Amino acid sequence: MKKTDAIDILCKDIPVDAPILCTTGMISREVFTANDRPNNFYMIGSMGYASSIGIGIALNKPGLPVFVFDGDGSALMSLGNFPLIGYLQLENFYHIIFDNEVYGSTGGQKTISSDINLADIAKSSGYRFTYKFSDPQELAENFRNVIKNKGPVCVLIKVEPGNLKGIARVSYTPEEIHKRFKSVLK
Amino acid sequence: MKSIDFCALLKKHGLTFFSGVPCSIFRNILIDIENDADFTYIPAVREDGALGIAAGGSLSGKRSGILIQNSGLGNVINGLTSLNLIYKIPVFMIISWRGYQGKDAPEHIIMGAEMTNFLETMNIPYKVFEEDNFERVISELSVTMDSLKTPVAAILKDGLIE
Repeated sequence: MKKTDAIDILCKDIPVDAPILCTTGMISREVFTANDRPNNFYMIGSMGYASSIGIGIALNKPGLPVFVFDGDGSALMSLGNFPLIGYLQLENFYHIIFDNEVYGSTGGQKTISSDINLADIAKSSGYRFTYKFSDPQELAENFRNVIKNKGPVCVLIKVEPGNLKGIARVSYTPEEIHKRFKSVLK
Repeated sequence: MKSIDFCALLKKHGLTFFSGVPCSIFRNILIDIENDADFTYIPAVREDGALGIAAGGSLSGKRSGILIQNSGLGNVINGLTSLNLIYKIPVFMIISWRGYQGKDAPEHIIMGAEMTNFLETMNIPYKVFEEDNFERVISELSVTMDSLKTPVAAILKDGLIE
């Protein structure tokens, strides 16, 4: 499954008013390219912070489903947040991990996620539901129901490595990203 | 100052959403915050997590802070320099001062001496609590935080909070 196809599938079913915290690097650029909305918070630095920012928002906006788009690298970097998310039992927290088993933004170096199962780690950390998808058809057919579940939910999506040639950087400045995001977060 | 009065000051300035990692210097503040339904305190697993949680709070419209020991300042530098400072996401940091005047265990000596230098290098406004300036420090840093949309740091030495 291509990461960009997975992103397309998800963005069709994620509610229009749901905030999406996009981790730094290619994932932010891919979501920006595929489905730019003010509700997307594009991180351009601070790798590993997406899930903790998501925790802060989920706690203060209990009526909104909060989506965190992590990669395997950023998830591994912030593994300590998994048990915290489980401990808090955040019912509106949806943790998506696009796992291509590489650091896509720095030259495609392998991460260790080929050998460990991040969904299992989420399960042992107390996430209410965990899922693993590697087939785009299955993802397309099931994602809508997956996110109907009470969170915290972890969805691990195995995707191919490789980046879109010439993919644009996020064109907004950090301050613009902040302003847009905050203005739509009700 | 009694920690319960310190907490009242925080409340007075609308600072009620916190995350952090404990330090014995502010252990009573943590107890009082956790016992007060007007506060939310999230025990982070590391200081960068606390900063991220506070950033989420800030993005959600809540004036947010972190409570960390200065040993944890090193763990938030990347978040400060590549998230808070460039996105202009404010955070009220209460940082305890281990290693103050070089009098402490070895692991605290370097950060005790350099903490304020690190903050100055990042252009982060800070003030140090003394016995007679609690209200003024919180009030002035609050105003700075709101107007500049910047992280600010209120430094807490040992022995000032009962």
